[in-house]
Amino acid sequence: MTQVVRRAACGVRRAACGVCGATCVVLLAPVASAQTPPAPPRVEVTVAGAWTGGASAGTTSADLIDPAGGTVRLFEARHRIRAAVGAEAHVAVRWRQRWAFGVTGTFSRADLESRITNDVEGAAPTTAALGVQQYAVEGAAVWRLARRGRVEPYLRAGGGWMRQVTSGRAYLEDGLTLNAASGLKYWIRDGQPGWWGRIALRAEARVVVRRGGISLAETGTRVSPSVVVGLVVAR
Amino acid sequence: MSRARASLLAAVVAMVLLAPAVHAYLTLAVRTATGLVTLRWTRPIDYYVTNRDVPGVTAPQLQAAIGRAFTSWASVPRMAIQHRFGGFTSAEPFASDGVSVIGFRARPELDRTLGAATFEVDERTGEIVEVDIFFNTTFDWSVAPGGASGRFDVESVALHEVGHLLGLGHSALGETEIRPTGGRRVLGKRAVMFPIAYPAGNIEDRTLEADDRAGITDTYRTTSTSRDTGSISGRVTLQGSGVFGGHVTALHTRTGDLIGGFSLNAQGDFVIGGLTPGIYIVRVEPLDDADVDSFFDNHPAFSLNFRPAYFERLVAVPLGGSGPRVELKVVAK
Repeated sequence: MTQVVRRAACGVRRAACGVCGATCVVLLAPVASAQTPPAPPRVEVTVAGAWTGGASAGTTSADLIDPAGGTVRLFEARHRIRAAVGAEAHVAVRWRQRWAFGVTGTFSRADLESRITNDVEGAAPTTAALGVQQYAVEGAAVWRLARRGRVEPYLRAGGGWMRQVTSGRAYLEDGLTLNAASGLKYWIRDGQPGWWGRIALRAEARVVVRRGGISLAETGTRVSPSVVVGLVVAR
Repeated sequence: MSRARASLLAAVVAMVLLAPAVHAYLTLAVRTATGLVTLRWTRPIDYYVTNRDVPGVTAPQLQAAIGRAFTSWASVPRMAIQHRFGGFTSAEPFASDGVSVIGFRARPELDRTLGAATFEVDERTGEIVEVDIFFNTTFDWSVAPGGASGRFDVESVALHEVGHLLGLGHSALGETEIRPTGGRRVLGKRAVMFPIAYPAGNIEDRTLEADDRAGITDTYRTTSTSRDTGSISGRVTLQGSGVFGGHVTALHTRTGDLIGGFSLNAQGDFVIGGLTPGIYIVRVEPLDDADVDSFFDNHPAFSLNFRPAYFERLVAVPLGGSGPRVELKVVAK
């Protein structure tokens, strides 16, 4: 009996390691029992923290036009969006056995950064930055995979509207955000009645695609990795 | 030939000052009894073209090139400049006759001046009475579509001079080097309103740059332009004191557009308006790539003794407004 349970846990761990380290930590916890898991909850509420990786945001050159039609470079700037940290709240409602649909609201903050170099008149290299806050509202569909003891893997896809606002609220741009994720819930408490009768830790790795919003020199879509860790209460 | 390569596009402006009181774009202004009045047209511009041919350019070709120059300025989005060609005339540019005349004229004594605009202004109201533009026949001219070697392009110079006619002063978006034989040579520029021309044969100045468009948009501000564009304001300081005449440039990080302006009072205050909303990098440098007289009249407080510097923050320019105020701190050379 015990051997069966261990194999099941390891199987999930191999799958999760391809996704993110945070989920592996959850999986390494021993599975307490092999009893039949209770039915999935009807409603889940998640509060989580999120980290989204930084990305290059292109380069811009300040160029003059020379008499031959070429360029004389005054300076150049290499842009980067620094890693963002934020928080999110997610409400999901079960549909049939495997599916859940939900709405997520997120808030995050990141710095835009430009490294300015190669000044034609020798000005000292400078790093100029600007804080940006992002608000997003997304819809998401979640597909629960087979539960193994306390561990419940799932796949998730979502998308929605985002608004990015510079610090001081001087400038804002709207855009679209899409994401695909895989994650795990580890049910700490399960099968009890009421909101505090079912509690889980949740870890999720995402690929986030953004289109629109505030841009420096990048064009088209921006793709970033993201990791979310949170607490789930359900009933 | 060497004289032609070193030629300047200076505007000789009678009675008109080259320093406005408020905004960072250099616009032309006149001092009236009630104060400094920025020159701008408040009625349709009627202009006449001289009926004389010169080698390489007939009067109709000159008129067509001037018409294209007016159209380029009038095509700037949200602009409402109305211009009308009144006909050919035997009148000379610079005659005080209440009629705006554009044409060729021999001015061999101005051996570094390709063309110039002169204003006649009502000193009581600041209203423009007439503006004449001349192209100096000391130089060889062309209207060839691709330019002609050894000849200056009429449309390029007309675009610059019509910019003056509309009230714009000079831009400083350019880099030059001093020629051993005198004058300056353009290494590169990014504004038709830069005071020094490209060499003969070049036609790059037939197209307005972002700096020119921002300048004319700001000069002819309307409710619409104020709503659809933004601005950057701030000051340039050296050890806490304002710097007059700092050349401030703003680079739009997404489009690469470069827009220039100046700090224009003893406190070092500047405003760059007519900007496309977005994120900008802001830089300041001394005005050392053209003669200071090309930009300002009689300003002894003008400062060149500082190093170029950047503002340490990216600047967000909103639609219809201004971002946080910028302080550009410079150090002495």
